[in-house]
Amino acid sequence: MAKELIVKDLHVNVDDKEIIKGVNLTIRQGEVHAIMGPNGSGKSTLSNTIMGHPRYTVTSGDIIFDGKSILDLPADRRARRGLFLAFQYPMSVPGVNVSNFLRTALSSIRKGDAEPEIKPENLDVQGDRPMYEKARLGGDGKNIDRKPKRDMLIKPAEFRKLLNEKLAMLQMDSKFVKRYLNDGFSGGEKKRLEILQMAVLSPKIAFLDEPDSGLDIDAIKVVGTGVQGLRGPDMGIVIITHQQRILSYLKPDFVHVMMNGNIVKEGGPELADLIEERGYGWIREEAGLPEISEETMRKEVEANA
Amino acid sequence: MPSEVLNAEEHLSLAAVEKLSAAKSEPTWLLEKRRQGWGLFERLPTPDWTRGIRGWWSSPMKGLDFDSLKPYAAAGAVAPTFDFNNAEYGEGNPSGTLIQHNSEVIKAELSEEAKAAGVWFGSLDQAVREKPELVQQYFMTRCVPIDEDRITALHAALWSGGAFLYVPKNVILTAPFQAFFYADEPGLAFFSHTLVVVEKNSSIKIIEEHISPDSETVSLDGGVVEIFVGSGAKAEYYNPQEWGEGFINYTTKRAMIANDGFHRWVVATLGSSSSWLNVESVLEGQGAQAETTGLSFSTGKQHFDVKTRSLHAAPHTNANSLFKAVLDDASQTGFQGAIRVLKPGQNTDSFLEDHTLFLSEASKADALPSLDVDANDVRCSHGATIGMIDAEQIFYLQSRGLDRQQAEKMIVAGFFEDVIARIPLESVRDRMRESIDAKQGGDGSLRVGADDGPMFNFAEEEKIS
Repeated sequence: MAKELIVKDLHVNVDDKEIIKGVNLTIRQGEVHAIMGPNGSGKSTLSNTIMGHPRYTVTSGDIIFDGKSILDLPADRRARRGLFLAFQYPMSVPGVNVSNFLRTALSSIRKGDAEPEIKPENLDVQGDRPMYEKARLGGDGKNIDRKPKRDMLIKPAEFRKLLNEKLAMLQMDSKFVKRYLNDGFSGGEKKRLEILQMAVLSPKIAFLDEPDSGLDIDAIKVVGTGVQGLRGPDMGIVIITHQQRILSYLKPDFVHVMMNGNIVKEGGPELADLIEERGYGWIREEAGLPEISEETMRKEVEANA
Repeated sequence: MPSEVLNAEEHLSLAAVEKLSAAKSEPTWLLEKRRQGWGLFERLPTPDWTRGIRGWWSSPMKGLDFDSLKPYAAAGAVAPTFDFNNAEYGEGNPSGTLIQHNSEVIKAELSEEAKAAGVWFGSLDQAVREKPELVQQYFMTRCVPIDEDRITALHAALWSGGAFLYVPKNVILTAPFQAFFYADEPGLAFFSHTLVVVEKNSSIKIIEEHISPDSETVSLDGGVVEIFVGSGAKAEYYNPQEWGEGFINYTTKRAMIANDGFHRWVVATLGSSSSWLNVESVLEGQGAQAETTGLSFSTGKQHFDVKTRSLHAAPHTNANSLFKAVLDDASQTGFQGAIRVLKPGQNTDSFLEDHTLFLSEASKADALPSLDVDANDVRCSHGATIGMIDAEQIFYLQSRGLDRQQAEKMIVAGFFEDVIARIPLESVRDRMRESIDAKQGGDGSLRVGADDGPMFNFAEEEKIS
């Protein structure tokens, strides 16, 4: 059965200011949703809250995944249950190479959030090479070997095969994964690396926070078709964007329009076309919302940054 | 060597100094040097650790009761073994291996290749007997003189064992030498000494290790490293310091580099309760070069002081120093880095960088880089950064399924990676990564950088793109 993520009357504060004001949303595996809305409407706050960013405080409501509330779980446990967030501004981690990082991440995700069920045939001890052994004392049982047991990671060969498949599918150069995580990456490279991570980790529900922002038309096409290629019955995808363009490569099943911290209009893919044509003003009027002041917008954008 | 050089009730005293020298049947000049050292120890003030700019901490040396220390301990029945196998990394069998257990050197071996080339490697005790002129010329003379400070003076008075490496000219040995200092006698005043003389156009590497079990009793290592790099010669020194808890590590390492010589320092401060490390390069010949790489990782209540200096005394000398420190828990580090260019040091390039990363708000660090230049045609720069681990980085990694601890470990390993990448010996790189991971409760297997070894050889995948 398709797993569901249910956001129930969610209210979220950032630094004691309410940003999300009672959002309701249901995403199932296999569905593609688009959340659209002008800057500062709370879209990024919503996705960060769902992923478990500690800066965002849920004041009321609930987030339920696969029948259980995930509100009390840290981000890593949400990820291990199958949630994913492609960041609008991915962090760089110098010195950490992409392939090593992804292998560690995938190993964690595969273990799941329950007690790990480790199949020995899929796992290997990392570092199957000679390593320095600390000084050892024999005889009287005194032993200063401080090396404890090893973490178990996915076998290198298995991981490499998977990584190569995903790289090929996304038409990405293998040089990508030898670089340090997002370190010195261009905007477009960072977005593509987010999609590669999504492909490798194969989440059940993935949020993509403005995967198109800052990209030129060609790069939007690469990202859009890349995500379209990952689409399937096991993955629910939520694209957060304020432009329609990326949706032409990735036709959503549902479109939600967010304004002022709430979802104010919902529809099918035709709603995205309407927004492209007519902008957001008419929805604002329809929802009976006042014109948003520059000041409020700036504050909200800052809060989300 | 008699099994009981000094009995167990002996304390630090002039009598102990004289007994030690007599037991070793040392020549008069060496006994005199020991006596002078003792005299200086009695007169000089106890060196002070840095206090922190805000006077945050007081010197751990103040709490050291010299009267509680034993000047000598025999090796004991249980011999440590040294398993650092460079051969497994394709770096060849070691050119030489020396093991000192407590105050005694219990093993000294030299490879056939090194022996045939005329290299001398063994304990300093033995060198005093077999190579007295060399020892007299180089041992605690102009490199680390006995009046350097109080602990160094005490070192001169009571050293025992030690490593001496002499490399005649035009000898190039790629496989490293290993010197392993191991102490398991609680309350021991240990004085590790490494003296290296590399003559003209020769090239060597030496890896020095310091290891002890944890103990509640305070022990001292007042260590000295002296390295003479001849003209056109190359020396590389690697030291992961992993003394156990209870050790106060107070060590001065200095290299004197002749014209067109090159010296590389790689020093990692990981162990001991408190550590004072002074690592210096004296570029005394025209065209001399030095590269210094330092890392420290303090946890718990560890207190580390790192001092470094590049002293440019001749023209066309280059130095490049990079230090990185990570602090967790309530640990403290003081970093003092100096570039000193004397008047003759024209056309000198000298760089110094220091970066500090905090994992805990309870930890404290001071970084004081300084420049002091008397020449007028030089390129010198220094820089320092200091900051808390980035919460957004942690969230990013957590969102990929890594728990908080894994995320921190990965960020720390990444932070050290460029320092480690400067180390040319793969065995040492691996060793450093293992120690860093192990300090964070890891199993020593975390790898984040480019050295994934055969498992991540992507050569075949190049074709895909």
